[in-house]
Amino acid sequence: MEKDEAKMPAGEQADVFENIIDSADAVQDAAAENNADLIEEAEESGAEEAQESTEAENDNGQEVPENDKEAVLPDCDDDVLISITDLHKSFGKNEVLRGVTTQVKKGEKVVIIGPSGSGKSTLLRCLNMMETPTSGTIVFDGAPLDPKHSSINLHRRSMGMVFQHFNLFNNLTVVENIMLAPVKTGIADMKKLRRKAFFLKLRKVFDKNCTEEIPSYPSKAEIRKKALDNAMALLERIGLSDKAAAYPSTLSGGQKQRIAIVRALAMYPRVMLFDEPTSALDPEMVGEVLEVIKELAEGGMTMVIVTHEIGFAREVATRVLFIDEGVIKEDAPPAELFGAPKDARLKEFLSKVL
Amino acid sequence: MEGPSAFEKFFSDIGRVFSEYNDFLLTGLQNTLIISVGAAVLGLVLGVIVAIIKIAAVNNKKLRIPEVICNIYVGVIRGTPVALQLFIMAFVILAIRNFPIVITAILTFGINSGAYVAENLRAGIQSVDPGQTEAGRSLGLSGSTTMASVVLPQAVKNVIPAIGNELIALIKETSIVSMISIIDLTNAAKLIGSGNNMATYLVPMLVAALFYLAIVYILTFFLRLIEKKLRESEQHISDKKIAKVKAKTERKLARINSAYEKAVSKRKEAA
Repeated sequence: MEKDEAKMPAGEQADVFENIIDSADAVQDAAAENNADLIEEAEESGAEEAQESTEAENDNGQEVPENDKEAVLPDCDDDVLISITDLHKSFGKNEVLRGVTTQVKKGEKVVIIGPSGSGKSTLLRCLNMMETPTSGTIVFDGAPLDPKHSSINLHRRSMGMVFQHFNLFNNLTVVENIMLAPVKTGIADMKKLRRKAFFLKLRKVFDKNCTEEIPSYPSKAEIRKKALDNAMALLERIGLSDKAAAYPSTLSGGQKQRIAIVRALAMYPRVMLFDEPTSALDPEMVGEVLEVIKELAEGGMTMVIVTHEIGFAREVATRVLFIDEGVIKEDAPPAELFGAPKDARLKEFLSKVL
Repeated sequence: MEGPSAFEKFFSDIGRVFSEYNDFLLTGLQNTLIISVGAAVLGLVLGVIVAIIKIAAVNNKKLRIPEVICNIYVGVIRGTPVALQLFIMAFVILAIRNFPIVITAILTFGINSGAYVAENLRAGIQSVDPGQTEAGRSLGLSGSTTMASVVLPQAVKNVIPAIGNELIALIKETSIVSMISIIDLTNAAKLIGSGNNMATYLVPMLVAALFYLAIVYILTFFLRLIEKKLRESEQHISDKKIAKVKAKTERKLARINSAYEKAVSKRKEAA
C-alpha cells in the first residue's frame, strides 16, 4: 500500500488519527487475503439473490446496466478509490440524480456543494449504497458495489459515514457505540475463520497430502480488548474519554457528532463520507466538529463531504463539486471554483451564500 | 332471637369461602395462572416471530408468502371474537377425546394474543428512528445484527406499556374459559356462589375480583421495573443515575480486560 508521505505532518505529531489511516492500509494488507475470501464467499451466496433482483428490475421495465466486471475494471487506475459512472437515482417520478460521473482518488478531499434538493446528499448516500441507484455503477477499490449482495457489508466497513443527525445508538453508552461494529464484525469474521480451520483440520485427517495452512484466529476476548483499547484511544484523542460511560442522550450535539466520527473511524475506513455533519449543530459547536474533520484531513484520509460551510470547504477541499438539478455543473479546485466560477447557477448560488 | 347482622354475615361468608371452598378457589387460581402464563409465553413468541417476518418482508421478496400468511393470521384473529375462537378450538379443531382442555385454552389465548403482540411490536420497531438502522448498516453490520443489537432493544423499550396492556387484558380474558367448563377463578366463584353451595354470589365474586386485582398489580409492578431498567439510556440528568451507569459500564469494561488477561495467560501456559 502506498502512503502519501507528503501529506503526513512531522513524525512527532503522529497521533491516533494518522495511526488509523496507517492501520487502515495495514489492516487492508493483512486482511486482504482473508477479505478476498470473504467477499468471494459472499458473492457466491449472493449471486443468486443478485440475479433475482436483476430479473425483478427487468420486470419493472427499468434499465439495468450490465454489471460487466471485465469492462469496468481496466478503467480503474491504482489511485482511484471510488469511481462513479452515469449514476441515476429517482424517487418515484422525481429524478434526483441525472447522470453523475466522477472519480475520487486516494487522499483526495472532495467537497460537494449545491442548493438544497440538488441531490448532493443522495449522491453521497449512493456511494455506500444507503440509497440504491436506479442505474449506473459505483466501483469502490476495484469492486463494483451491489446493494443486494452480501459483500456490500464488507465494502461498507471500509467506508465510514457520518450523518447529519449523528445517529448514535441510543441504547448503548458512548464506548459501546464505538465498540459495537468492530466487535460484531470481528466475531463474525472469527467464526468464519474458525469454521474454515475446523474443516481444514478435518480434511487433513483424511488427506495427508493437503498442505494448506490452518488459519489462526483471535479469541473473542482479544477482539473485545482490541476494540476497547482502540475506542478509548479514539475518545482520548477527541478529549471525551470522561464521557465513555455516558449515554448519548446526555451529550451535546457537538460531542455526539465527534463521537459519531470516531465511531466510523473505529472500523479503519479507507474513505470517510460526511453528510452535512454540522447542519444540525448549534453555531458554537460547529467549530469543534470541523476541527476534528480538519485534523483527519491533515492525516491524509480520503473524504467526501457534503456541506454548507463554504469557508470550511475552501480550507479543506482539494476539489469542489457543484451539483444542481442532479448533475455536476462544475468540478474544480476550491480556489478556482470559488474564485472564478464559470457556471451561471454557481455564480448565483455563491452570491447568496457568501 | 336476633340473627347475625348483614355486616357480620359478610365477614363470616368471607371466612367460609376460604375455609370450606378453598379447593375450588385454589383450582380456579391455578388454572387461571397456568392459562395466563402459558398463553403469554406463546403469544410473545408468536408475536415476535410474526412482527419480524412482517418487517423483514418489506425488503425481501423471498418472505412474500410467509408475510401473506402472517397477514391472514393477524386479520382473522383480530377480526373474530375470542369466545368464538375458543369454541372452534375446543369443539372443532381439538375435539379429541381426553385432550387436556387447559392446553386447548392455552393454545387459543396464546394464538389470540400473538396477533396483538405482533402488531404492537411492529409499531414499536417502526417507531425506532430509521437513522439507527442506517448507522448500523453504514458500519458494515448485517441487517440482522443491526436489528438484534440496535433496533430491537429500543423497540422493546417503546412497546413495554402496550405489551403490558395486552398481558393484563389477556389475564382477564381468560375468564371466558368457563364457557368450555374449565374451573378458573371466575368459574370457581360462580360455583361457590351457586345454590348448592353458599347461595350468595356477592362474597365469592368479590374474592375472585381481589385475586384478579392482585395478579394484575403484581404484573404491573414487574412491568414498571423492566421499563425503568430499559429507560436507563434516556434523559438521566441526575448525578446518581449517571454514576450508576458509569459504574455499570466500568464493570463491563473490566470484564473485557480480565477476560483478555485470562486468555493471554492461558495461551502462555499452553506454550
